[in-house]
Amino acid sequence: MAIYINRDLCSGCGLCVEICPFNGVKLDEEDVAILLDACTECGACVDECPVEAISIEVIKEGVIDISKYSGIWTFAEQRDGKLTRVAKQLVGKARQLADILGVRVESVLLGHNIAELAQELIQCGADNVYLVDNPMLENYQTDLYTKAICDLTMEKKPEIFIFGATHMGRDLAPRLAQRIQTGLTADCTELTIDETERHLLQTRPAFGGNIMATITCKNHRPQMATVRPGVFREPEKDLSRKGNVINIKPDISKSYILSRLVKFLKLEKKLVKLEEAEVIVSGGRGLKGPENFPLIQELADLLGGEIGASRAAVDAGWISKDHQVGQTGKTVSPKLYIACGISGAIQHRAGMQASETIVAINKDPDAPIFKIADFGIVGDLFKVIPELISVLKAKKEKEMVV
Amino acid sequence: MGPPQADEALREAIAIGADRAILLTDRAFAGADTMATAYSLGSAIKKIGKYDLVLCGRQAIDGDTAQVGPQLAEFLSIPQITYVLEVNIEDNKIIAIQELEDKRVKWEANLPALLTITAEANKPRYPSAYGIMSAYKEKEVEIWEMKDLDVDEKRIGMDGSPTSVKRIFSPEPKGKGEIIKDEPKKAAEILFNRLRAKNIL
Repeated sequence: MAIYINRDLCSGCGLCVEICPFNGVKLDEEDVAILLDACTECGACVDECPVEAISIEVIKEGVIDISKYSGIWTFAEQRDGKLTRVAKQLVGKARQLADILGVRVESVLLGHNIAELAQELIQCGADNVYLVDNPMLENYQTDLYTKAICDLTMEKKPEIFIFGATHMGRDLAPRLAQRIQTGLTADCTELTIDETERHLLQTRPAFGGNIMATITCKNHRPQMATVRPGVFREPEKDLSRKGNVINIKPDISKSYILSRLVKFLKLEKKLVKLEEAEVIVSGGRGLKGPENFPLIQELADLLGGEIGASRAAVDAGWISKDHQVGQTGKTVSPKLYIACGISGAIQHRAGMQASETIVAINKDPDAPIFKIADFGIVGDLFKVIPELISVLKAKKEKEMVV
Repeated sequence: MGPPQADEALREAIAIGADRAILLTDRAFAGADTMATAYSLGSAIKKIGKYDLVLCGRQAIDGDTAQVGPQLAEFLSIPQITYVLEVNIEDNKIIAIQELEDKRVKWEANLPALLTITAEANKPRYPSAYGIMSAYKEKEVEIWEMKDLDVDEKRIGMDGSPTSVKRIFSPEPKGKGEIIKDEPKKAAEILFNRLRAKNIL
């Protein structure tokens, strides 16, 4: 994209100078607008100019040549110097899609002192990693990440670009898609290729999972999507796999920052990372009170999992909000989800029905949770869970002896 | 932006404190994806003129995309802070606490800015009797159609949407699960064996 100012049309009114969020334009000695280095080509002045003296080169349907776009990109989300699980899941899925299309898988990795993560992405299946290492990128910041990735995308032209549907991915991808002027599909649970058209078929749940929709982006590139964490398998690492790490020097500076990170808050208690958990044991109204959460905690500990909760339990103040699973809480898809004393309202099911195996323990045989459970135990959870704990403990001890 | 019946939601907004309500409604807006929606809303905001803050919900209850907020912020070239749990204004700056999956982050931005707000950030007040009366008797919901906005027809509605729905279908029903009705000790053992057989334990 580029901004052009037509000197003959400019009336010198200065509205562009006022509207510019970056101090990227000024009036020169002849009272004609000129761009400064601080211009980010955001386009705010284009709409503001009353005499249409300012224009922006925008990619429009039909104008972009989609055959120039090739390769599948993944955003390699890292937090505190570690790749998220979804970052690896994306590479695994991208590999499958790329093999169908016969193209490369490339990952985009931003941060500071994170070079070793590039090798991990290659071991997961990436052919190339664009490593953008800069102290200003150490922590995620919307504007700098958008600028650095937008520049790279416009230059290298991938046909598909996928992100984890994490808070970071869902903050970044829409801002980026809007700047590139391409389509973005949110929170996909399946990605396939239409082999005749070479389009990406992006399937996602809508209306709380009551219907599924398959979305395409036919005339714009890249085809962008965020992908729900946990729905694709994390690939097995191939330690002998080789790939290229391409160092990218980003064109960023402080002047691009619109929202400033003040600090990370110290929390009394660490927030639980339910999205990354492989096993979740969730409690609902049937637990009867906060004093009974240690019971499901013991079960979760034995299974190496985390504790979830229904909205009813959170609203009652039995457990903190970061444990809430459901439409207004977290969306999870662990290998094993055990719902204890949760009836399974549609809003709760929307947040966990993609789990690989669902176990429900509830005394009401008509509870809707049983409709989506792989295994349901109709019974009193205060009797069933202690039995389950003792079975697990007994088998564990037996295996230790063996 | 929505169909004419969205009038009711705007009346409710007036009843709990909004001073002015505008409904963008026109068949030309129909079928918009998030990019075309952000463009239409953004064009309306530009028409309103000077503004300090744009507040969006975290995500809609039907589409669940969470995309319109950031896309709108980008269109307006203003700062965005998403997943906001707490917000304050100090010295004409926004100070907001953002909730991420595993941490909370404090951000600061100049006005105007756009925030997307989580459900926990605030409990909506109840409408007062005066508010309800005012919403239906005194105040009007202004209706803006495409012709009222300075928009490029090719960028709104279905034509302005890079994405389109190819197919809608009901999720495949999961195979019927197994219901275990045995007494607790036996039930726990059966479950353990089933999970072990599936290589989960």
